[in-house]
Amino acid sequence: MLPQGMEHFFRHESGRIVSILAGIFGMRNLQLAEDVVQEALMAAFSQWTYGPIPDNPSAWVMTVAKRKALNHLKREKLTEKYAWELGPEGLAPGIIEQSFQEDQVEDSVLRMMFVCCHPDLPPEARLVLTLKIICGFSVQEIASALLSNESAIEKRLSRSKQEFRDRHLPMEIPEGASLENRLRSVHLCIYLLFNEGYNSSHPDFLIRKDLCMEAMRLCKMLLHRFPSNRPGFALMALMCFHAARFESRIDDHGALILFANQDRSKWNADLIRAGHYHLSEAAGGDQLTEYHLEAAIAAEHCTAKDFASTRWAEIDRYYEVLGEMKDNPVIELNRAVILSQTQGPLVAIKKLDALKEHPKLKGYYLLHATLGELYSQVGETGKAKEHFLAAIGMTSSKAEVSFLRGKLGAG
Amino acid sequence: MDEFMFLVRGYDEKGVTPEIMQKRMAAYQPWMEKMMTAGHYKSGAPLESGSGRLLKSNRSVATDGPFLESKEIIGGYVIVTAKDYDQAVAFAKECPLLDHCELEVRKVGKM
Repeated sequence: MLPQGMEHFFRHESGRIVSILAGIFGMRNLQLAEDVVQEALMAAFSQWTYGPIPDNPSAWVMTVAKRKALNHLKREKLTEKYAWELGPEGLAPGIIEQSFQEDQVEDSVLRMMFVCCHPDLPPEARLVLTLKIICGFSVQEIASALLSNESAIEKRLSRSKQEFRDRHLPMEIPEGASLENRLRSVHLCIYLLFNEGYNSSHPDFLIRKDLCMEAMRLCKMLLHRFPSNRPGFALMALMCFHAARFESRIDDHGALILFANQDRSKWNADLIRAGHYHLSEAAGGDQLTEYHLEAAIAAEHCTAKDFASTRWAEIDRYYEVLGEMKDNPVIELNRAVILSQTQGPLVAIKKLDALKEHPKLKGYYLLHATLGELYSQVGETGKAKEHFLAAIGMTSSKAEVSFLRGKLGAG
Repeated sequence: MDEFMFLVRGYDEKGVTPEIMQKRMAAYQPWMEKMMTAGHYKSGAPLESGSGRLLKSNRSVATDGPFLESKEIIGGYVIVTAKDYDQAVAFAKECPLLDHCELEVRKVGKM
């Protein structure tokens, strides 16, 4: 076991130090910052390969990084080359010392988060940048997590770095209306990050859990700095409620467990409490965001004693408002599932049949999995089988396939 | 008790990402801790990679290594105490560094 608090030491230190260094070198020298970080982490890693870990490993790495940064500045004469970027005084002698002070570190990370989520960058690039720069994942790890390939991720990153060089996107926290705008962009990035972990069909459970934990960590940092950011609290609430059910979503064999059959005693009570706390902090403002609604829906599920006592009417009302806010046919799919609970499977099948041709739902395995389930409830095993087979063909997740195969066997 | 030096050869640092560092560190440290608690660990250190001087006589100093194949390069050393080679080798066999490199176990000569 590593000392406590070192669970993701190398990745997290990577994000912290790269943020500090980019603040010193400028975003146009992001690559240099990343190189120095890799050197510093490598130095720590090899030191601790042959001997004990020091009492304060973080301070140790920071000191090494600081020394390496100073060496680079001397060697590469960055001070002269990029003096314009460093302000009229150039690189003041104290600035490096100051940037590495503990109370400055979190601020640097936040500023990095804000520039990585700059609205001028495409949303996919923001997610990739966040994973690479702030979460400290490698290109290969990001490609694997996002079920993409390395060259695509590499291309995105180098294009973004080019943007940082060409457009001088500043590493700062904007003010006033543009702060609100930027926060929206940061929220969306955190939300996407969480969803990648929670809803993706990635076969590796641990990778998915890591993504969810990263999203929650970033959100926590954001709320610490912006305590009156109500949509941010709603987002955090939503993630807490979902994360509370994370462990119970797979059984011993990794198959997805149908929501109705989940063992509610396995739900994490601490996270549910945290969800309620954040949801109450999110209330009271004049903003009602999709995060508020999704959190409220998740809260209903977490609060119901068992599946039978779920308050479907309330949940449906939240979905209705949500549907007005964002155009997403999955919302209608969810409402159909509610219909099956309140008015029976036949009504739900009718609604889903109408949704089948929606371009965004074509090839969506959950639509067919749901139809399969509903048809088997009304005893139409032939049709049920047809839909389960269609669903199997649409997902790459082993857990989902084995779940659906189980359904086929039962039907 | 005698001292034994583990020479660690062929540690390839290329492509070692923070996540990989994390996993390897989590594997190494329990061994290290066990050796320390039992009082068998004496010292250890990495040898800086990418630098070195090779002297084959007093007339020439080669500085632009690598002088050896990468799998032969010594990445660092660990010194442990053990009662004999058998015990030292038993310690080395448990060392997770073996997953990524070779260990040469040598007894340190006594005065």
